Amino acid sequence: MTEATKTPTVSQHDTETSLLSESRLVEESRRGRTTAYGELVRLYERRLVRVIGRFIGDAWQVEDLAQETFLRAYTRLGQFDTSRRFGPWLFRIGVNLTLDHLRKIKRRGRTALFSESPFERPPDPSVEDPRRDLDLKQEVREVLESVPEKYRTVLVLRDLENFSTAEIAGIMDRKEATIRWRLAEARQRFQKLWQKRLEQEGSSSGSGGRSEPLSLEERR
Amino acid sequence: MKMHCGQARDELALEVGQDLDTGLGEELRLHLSECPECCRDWLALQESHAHLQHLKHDSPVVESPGLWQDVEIAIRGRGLKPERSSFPSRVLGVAVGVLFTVFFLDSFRSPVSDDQTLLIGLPFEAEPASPEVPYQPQWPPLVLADPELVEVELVGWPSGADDGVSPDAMPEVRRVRWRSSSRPLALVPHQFVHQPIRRPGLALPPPQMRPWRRSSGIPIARTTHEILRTGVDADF
Repeated sequence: MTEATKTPTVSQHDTETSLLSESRLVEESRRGRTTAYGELVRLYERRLVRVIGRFIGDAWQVEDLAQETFLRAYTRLGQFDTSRRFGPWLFRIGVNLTLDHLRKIKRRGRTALFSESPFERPPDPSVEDPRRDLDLKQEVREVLESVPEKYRTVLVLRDLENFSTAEIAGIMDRKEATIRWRLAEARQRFQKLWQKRLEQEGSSSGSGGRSEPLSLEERR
Repeated sequence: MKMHCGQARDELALEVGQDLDTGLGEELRLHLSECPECCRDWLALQESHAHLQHLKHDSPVVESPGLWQDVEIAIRGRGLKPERSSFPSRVLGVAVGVLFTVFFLDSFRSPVSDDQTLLIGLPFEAEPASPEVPYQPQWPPLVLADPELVEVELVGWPSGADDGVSPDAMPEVRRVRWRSSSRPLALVPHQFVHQPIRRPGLALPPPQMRPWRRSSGIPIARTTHEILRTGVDADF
């Protein structure tokens, strides 16, 4: 037997220790020890805030949603299976809350993803095509926003937040195969929308600022 | 087997983020070397994915410091407590408890001895009718008002006809009440309920049984069409 098979690797050991520590904290929190839950909050608050922030730009709303996520998780601790990681379960609550919030905003007629971002610059009316004034990141955000929600969520979690497909499956309560399929579909959709945007920009710059493609009669 | 373009595009979308299984990489590279269309798609995917990566290091909000303080205040303010157990196990626990209690109590039901049992049967035409009483149970023949009080409608015979009754005679119906605390009597309702009904001139219907009824150790009437009134001075 080799040394590697005798002893677990450092990362395995860390993972097991972390899992044990998490389950201990959850058990203590269930017994009403709020300080134990405080440790769990400190462990995950940064990541949770960042994930929610990928979907919502307003820092205040992000904090409110993160706080609501922790409160909801606290009241539902009885449903948590301590043999599993706390993170995916917490992020599932957080992502669901965030998506619900976005749907409410959408129903009220406001734009959703990234539209309230503090990084967004208002378009300058003096400029003929305001899109040219937007930076690349803003364009990427806009294209990402036009990807349907179920694909966009997977894309954000995988490509922006570096969750593995197995972790995303845990967060979204789907099979990993489903997540992989959605991920492939999401990247293809994003690519097509990005391509479409480039073509529209190209045609508008080529026709003196027109955003609509030429009709067949105009081409003649 | 060669990979076709539809499958290759799905795999390319995974490969661009290094999410493809290692086994498929070689097959995909082989397909790309032969398919210029998929090569163009591959380059386009790489480009759009690279643009998406621009957002990766662009954290849209400032990280929240000290969220726990607000959470703790909210927990105390709203009086929140974690749930103890999940819903299905609670329901299962209650159901198992109820079932156990029912079977436990049923198993402790006191057996009734023969001399405390009132057996009522129906007469057969071929048998002598001297002590028998035509019994036509009504539905429901017994009403168990409470564990102490048993109320039964019995078909007796006209008073003074103790030595025998004509099969065609109209029976008397009397209501008899016992208190089990006052008299040593136990009635077993299900023994009365499904006795076959005999009417003059009609054949006896087949006996109906209740297979789900648990036996309580009381002997079923061996000799039908007789009333044994042992230990009971009922008012017939």
